[in-house]
Amino acid sequence: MLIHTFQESKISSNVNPNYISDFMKKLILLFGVLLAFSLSAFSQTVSVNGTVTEEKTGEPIAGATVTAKGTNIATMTDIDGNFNLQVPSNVSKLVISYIGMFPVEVDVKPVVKVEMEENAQVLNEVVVTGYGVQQKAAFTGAASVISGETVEKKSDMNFVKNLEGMVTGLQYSNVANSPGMFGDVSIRGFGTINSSSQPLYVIDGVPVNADPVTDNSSNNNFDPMAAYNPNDIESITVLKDASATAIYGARAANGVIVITTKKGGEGLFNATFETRQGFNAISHNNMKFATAQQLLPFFARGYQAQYPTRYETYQEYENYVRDQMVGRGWDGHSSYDWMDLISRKGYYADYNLSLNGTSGKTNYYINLNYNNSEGAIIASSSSRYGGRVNVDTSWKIVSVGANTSYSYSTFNGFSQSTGGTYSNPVYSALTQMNEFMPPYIDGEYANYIAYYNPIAIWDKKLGNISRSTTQTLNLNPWLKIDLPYDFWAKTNFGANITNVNQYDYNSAIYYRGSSGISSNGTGEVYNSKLSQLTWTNTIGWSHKYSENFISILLGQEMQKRFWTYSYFERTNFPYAGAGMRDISTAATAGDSGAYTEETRLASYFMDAHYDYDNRYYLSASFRRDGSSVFGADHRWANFWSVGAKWRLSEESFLKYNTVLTNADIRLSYGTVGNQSIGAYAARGIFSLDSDYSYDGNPGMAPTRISNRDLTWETSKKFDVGFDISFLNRWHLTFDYYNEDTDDLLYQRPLSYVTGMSSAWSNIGKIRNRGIEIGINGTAFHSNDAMINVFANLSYNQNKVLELAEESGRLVYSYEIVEVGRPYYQWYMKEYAGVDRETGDPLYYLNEEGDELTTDYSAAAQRYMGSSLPKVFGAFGVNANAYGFDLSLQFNYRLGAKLFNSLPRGSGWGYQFRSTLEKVVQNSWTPENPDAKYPIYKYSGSTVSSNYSSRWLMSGDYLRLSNITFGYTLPSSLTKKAYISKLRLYLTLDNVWTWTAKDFTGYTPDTRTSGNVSSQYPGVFTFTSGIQLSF
Amino acid sequence: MKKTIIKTGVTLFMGISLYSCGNSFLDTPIYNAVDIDDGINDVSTVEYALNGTYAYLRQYQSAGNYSSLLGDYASDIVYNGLEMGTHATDMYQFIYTETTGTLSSIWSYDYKVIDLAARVIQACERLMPDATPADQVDLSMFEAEARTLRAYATLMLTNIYGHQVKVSGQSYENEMGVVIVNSPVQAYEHIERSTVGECYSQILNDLNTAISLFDKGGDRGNMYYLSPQATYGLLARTQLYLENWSEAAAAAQRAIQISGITTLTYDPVEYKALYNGGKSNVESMFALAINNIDNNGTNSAGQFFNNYGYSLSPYLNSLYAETDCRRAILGFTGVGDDGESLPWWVDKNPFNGGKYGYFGGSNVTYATNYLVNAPEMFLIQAEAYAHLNQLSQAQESLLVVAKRNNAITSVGDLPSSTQGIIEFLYEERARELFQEGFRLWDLRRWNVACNLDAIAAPEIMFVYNNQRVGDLVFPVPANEVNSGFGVVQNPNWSSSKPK
Repeated sequence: MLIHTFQESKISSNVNPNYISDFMKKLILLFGVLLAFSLSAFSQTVSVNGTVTEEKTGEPIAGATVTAKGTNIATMTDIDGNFNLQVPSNVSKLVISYIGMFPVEVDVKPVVKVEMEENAQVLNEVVVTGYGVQQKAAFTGAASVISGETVEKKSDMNFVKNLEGMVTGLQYSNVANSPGMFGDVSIRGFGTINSSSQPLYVIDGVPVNADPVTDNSSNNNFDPMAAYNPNDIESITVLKDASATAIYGARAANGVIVITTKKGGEGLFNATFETRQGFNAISHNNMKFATAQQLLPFFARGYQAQYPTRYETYQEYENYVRDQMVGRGWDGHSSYDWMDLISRKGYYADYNLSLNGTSGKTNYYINLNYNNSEGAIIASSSSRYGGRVNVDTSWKIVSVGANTSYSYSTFNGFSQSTGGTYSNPVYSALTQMNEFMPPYIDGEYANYIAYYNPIAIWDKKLGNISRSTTQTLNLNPWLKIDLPYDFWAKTNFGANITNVNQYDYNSAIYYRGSSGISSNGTGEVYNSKLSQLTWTNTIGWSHKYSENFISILLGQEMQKRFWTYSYFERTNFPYAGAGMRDISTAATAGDSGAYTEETRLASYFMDAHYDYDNRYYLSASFRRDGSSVFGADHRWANFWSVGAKWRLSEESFLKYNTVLTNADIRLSYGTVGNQSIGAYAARGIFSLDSDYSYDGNPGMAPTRISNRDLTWETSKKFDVGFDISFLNRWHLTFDYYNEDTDDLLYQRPLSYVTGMSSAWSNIGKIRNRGIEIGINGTAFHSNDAMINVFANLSYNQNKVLELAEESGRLVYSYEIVEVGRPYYQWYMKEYAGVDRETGDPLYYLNEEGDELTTDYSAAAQRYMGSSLPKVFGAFGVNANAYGFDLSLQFNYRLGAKLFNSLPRGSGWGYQFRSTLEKVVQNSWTPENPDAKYPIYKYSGSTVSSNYSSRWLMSGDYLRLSNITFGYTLPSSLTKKAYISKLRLYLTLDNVWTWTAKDFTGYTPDTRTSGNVSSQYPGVFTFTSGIQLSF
Repeated sequence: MKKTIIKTGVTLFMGISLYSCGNSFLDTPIYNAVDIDDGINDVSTVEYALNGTYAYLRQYQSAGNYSSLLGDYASDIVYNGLEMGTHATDMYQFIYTETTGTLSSIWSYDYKVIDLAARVIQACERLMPDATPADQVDLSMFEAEARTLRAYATLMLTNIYGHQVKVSGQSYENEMGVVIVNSPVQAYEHIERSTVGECYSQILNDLNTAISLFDKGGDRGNMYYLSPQATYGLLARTQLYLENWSEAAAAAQRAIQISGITTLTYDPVEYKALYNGGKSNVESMFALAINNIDNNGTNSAGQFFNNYGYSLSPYLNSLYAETDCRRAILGFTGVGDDGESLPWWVDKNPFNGGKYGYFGGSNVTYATNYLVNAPEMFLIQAEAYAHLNQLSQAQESLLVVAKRNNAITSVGDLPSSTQGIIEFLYEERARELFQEGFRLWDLRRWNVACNLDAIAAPEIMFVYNNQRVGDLVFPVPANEVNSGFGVVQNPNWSSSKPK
């Protein structure tokens, strides 16, 4: 009876299709009403015909945007500069805008002639390099600029996730789809082996920490970037080549992501309120599990196949399995889908209130933000309270300002170890529970003493706790003085402080084993504080003389990074049964420890740009960095770059070409470094850590040998690219790059006989070579509608060129690092299908050739592809008409191979674990000798579940990753209510994913290593929002 | 005003620049370490480094679990029905490879013990000439302990990665052993594996030197530290493997004499109380300092014999008479504590931990490993005397242990022939030394027919039946071989597996 009760409640807690359908109906109705209303508002119009020309030359301007002021009604000029626009009768002005021209405003008349004046200061895009701002047109480097609006489109609290597909060359690798979870980011491949491949993040000119500050050993890390509110972002510039990044010297080898936050806007006071709410759920996938009824005979045969002599008849085997399952609480007929039981409809809510404006020479921007994201799997959620104040003002030659943000984030998650952890509900659901095992018996949780029952473990009152709270404070005051003769000086101080308090509690009541029930509960508190202080002083000079423009920047910077953490553990929670789970109530002391480290960076840099007649651009940058993490003899290094650009379209032979409206060629070369290693990696030490104490007495142990020569790994980056625009409507960007990283920071394996396993050294070389193509344009425009499309593609080839090992290879269980191959290279026994006679799995015997064997240990390892995608990118469309806007974004990834290192933990059964229906239906039996899968034996570990290419799958996918549908009410209507803008919208994220045929899993977007075992499922998000500006 | 601002700005800028350009800005303090080159420079730091050596030994990869217990996990006296992934089940099922984590963990951690012990020995020798008399006493004791630690770790490594030194009388001294570390091996130094015989010589040399150093330096009188009796115990074990029967018997006798443990416990309640935790085992000469603060957590031996499914095998269970007091610790949680009807539903009712049961408390994680114990000494004597044909002495020694089965009360209840005593020992060593990690090495040195990889409890069934494992060797970790500093692989490790 209680089971029924539970099942009923389960339905209500799931995504109810009727609910969605009703919700959709209501929304469609609402939009219909609004559409009818708005159409009637537009019913009286005036037709305007016009021509737009360039003032100096009289040449027609193609692609200029003509907008009826105060509305969304717009069109573009054709190749002859002509346009026609139906303007509502209550609109009196047209606004004409075009890249590099002053906007023009004219009265509405049946025929208008517009002349536009060139303005070199007006730009469509600027590239923010952190130390300064440059016009995109004058920028010699390779960079992608993403607007804040694009970032906000998707519903994820971590803005970095939203960059996926929008920036060529940037690969975001999900560790898990739980809210706030840390993910891997790489730009233009992987140019490092043992140091971090994370790019440098710079917010408003201040480098900020992007590495997890939580307890790293837990595989359960809050992403520091999720502490920042996507709504605060004005733009993101991703700097890629040497010309763009060399100014960041020692930290720029992995690229730089520069974030600019919003500033005060026009007008005295603007207020915007935005809220977005919805839900998420496990996205569509092919993990369909068998039922208990299907599994009983399947398990029985599997047990018989494993132990053929134990019983005489099949029925005895079935009885054995049945007894086992009844012992686990099976009622003989029910079947339980445990993934269903641990999943839910996670609530998503985001609120933003922004105030901005200008008063005199003072600009201000204030934002308050609250985000709450529940995961689609129980026990995972994240929330953020945040605020930002950006203010700047000027008085005569002095400008001062400050950018300040604070956030308080709470992250609830669980280990995402690919090896499987029982506190991870997905892993315990699939390995500890099975289709026979009820979640409850007689109103109590079932099977939590003998097994890990994830629902019991994460009971809200008595279950586990895994919570980290992160406080992130950014404080960035600056002062700038404009000096005579075009000189200026600026000092910029940045404090980036991250405080983390993490509490992990293993339930005394529901978590089996020594760290839970047998210890009467275990709690561990982990406190961490990371302070990163950066002081930057720059002086600059820019001067225009005739056709020559020159700008020079000199700077000096010092950075201190101080990190300290401590932890302590206690056991025995006497009041756990009453819900008292705080560590202060625990009776018995346990392990404790502490750590402190400090690193420093001292730098000098220079950046120079020269521009002749907006045609020829030259740039050069230089940086000298001193880093405390390196050997005493090699702390300083120099980095530099040169770049050039030729804007062909400014040459006389192309200048007035109306088809090829922009064309340039870029070229850059330079060196940048990577210093992401431990604070004391170069020093040989006896560690005095309490880990080495014994019997309460102090101890020490040698943990690292010294390397006084340890220094930066250096990437030599070459980039050649071009940008072309046709008709001012179609824009193409192309880049080819080659990045060779030398002197890799490499933990060279030592003989274990030395008492150590590796030593840091600068050995090895790795290459990334690739192509990036981006295209966007206006596919269609009319008076009432416009459709823009975009597509991009990134291709990267990663190759190890040199290793420390004489053999040129490092062999692992199923991977290899070898000269001449990608860093992530699968190397495992190759599965060759099923032996038709016996049902045993077959493997290729030798490294090459077709000889087969059923002896797993005899089979040789073979090269089986890489987890790195060959090609990835996105394409999509943005359209608007009559105030409606619609955008679709597709992401794709091709050429990666993914590996399931733990099949027993993801639906392939073994030892009575949860099993996919297709495994039941298509495993070898004497009656089904042509089955796809080998004979199913109880203990797969000795036979078919060992590492082999049987578990290797194509990671190719195409994903409809975002649909946004919105409607902005006509301002003529909203103005009456003093509302300057009112937009309603729906967003759907991760709508559908098309995967390769051989893919079995929850989602093909996974960590960089390509390992999909124990995976947190992909998540579909549905939200609706309202944007209201006064 | 303008000029003042400019001047201030420029002065500030230049001041900061000058400050930051110095190398001293980059000299960051280090908070939890000292320089490796002069880390051990006086008696105190010798002691700290020695404590560090013990701390390594305590780790689960070393004597805290894998290294000391491998001989049981891969044997006929242990059962695991759970087959929980990473917890040494590759060893249990004999499906290990060169990349099996358990094997590389043992190799790396036992070498950490050896390396740090060698550093301590080197420092003691360096400091000794100039030390005060009082410091010389301390240094002698520290060096004695360090040499015993090095010998112990070398013995474990030689056993695991080398051929059994003697198999039923036949010598394999010329087979490949492990790398001997006389003085700490420098990074990037070329190394070579010595022969098994050379390794045993090094072990004997260390143990004998330690014994003479203990004479000078005394010992701590604390079972968490090595002592003369524990060193003699290890010497007896080593000599037994070398089949030096007289030396083995004599060393065991010295261990018994010095420790004063001349009789054992035969009462079930008292026997169980030996495993209450900490120093409760009064029959032990050396144990690891493991407690609620310092322990191996989920990788502890207690966890393996509880949550991770290891228990005694039905075969071993069949070897215990109902009157055997050792049954007192062989219960499964909830049932069978009285020694009856063991369920082996290890998933539902895990083994209570046995010798890692921590019966004085409730958390098996806090249970320690008793590494050198008096019962083993009596059994070594029994086996040695039997081979020396001193049968009554063999019987007397054997009786001290065999009386754990309360039905055996006098030598009359024991076999009286050499072969009879040795065959009795085949089982008695299994009964007595269960969970102490000797079984596989016993099966290997005796080369008797055995069965491995127990399955389908409570029935007595094995995957590998009627095996002889005299030639069994484990593979050296692939990482060590691939690092390219000179260690080569055992050529026949794969074919030496049970068939």
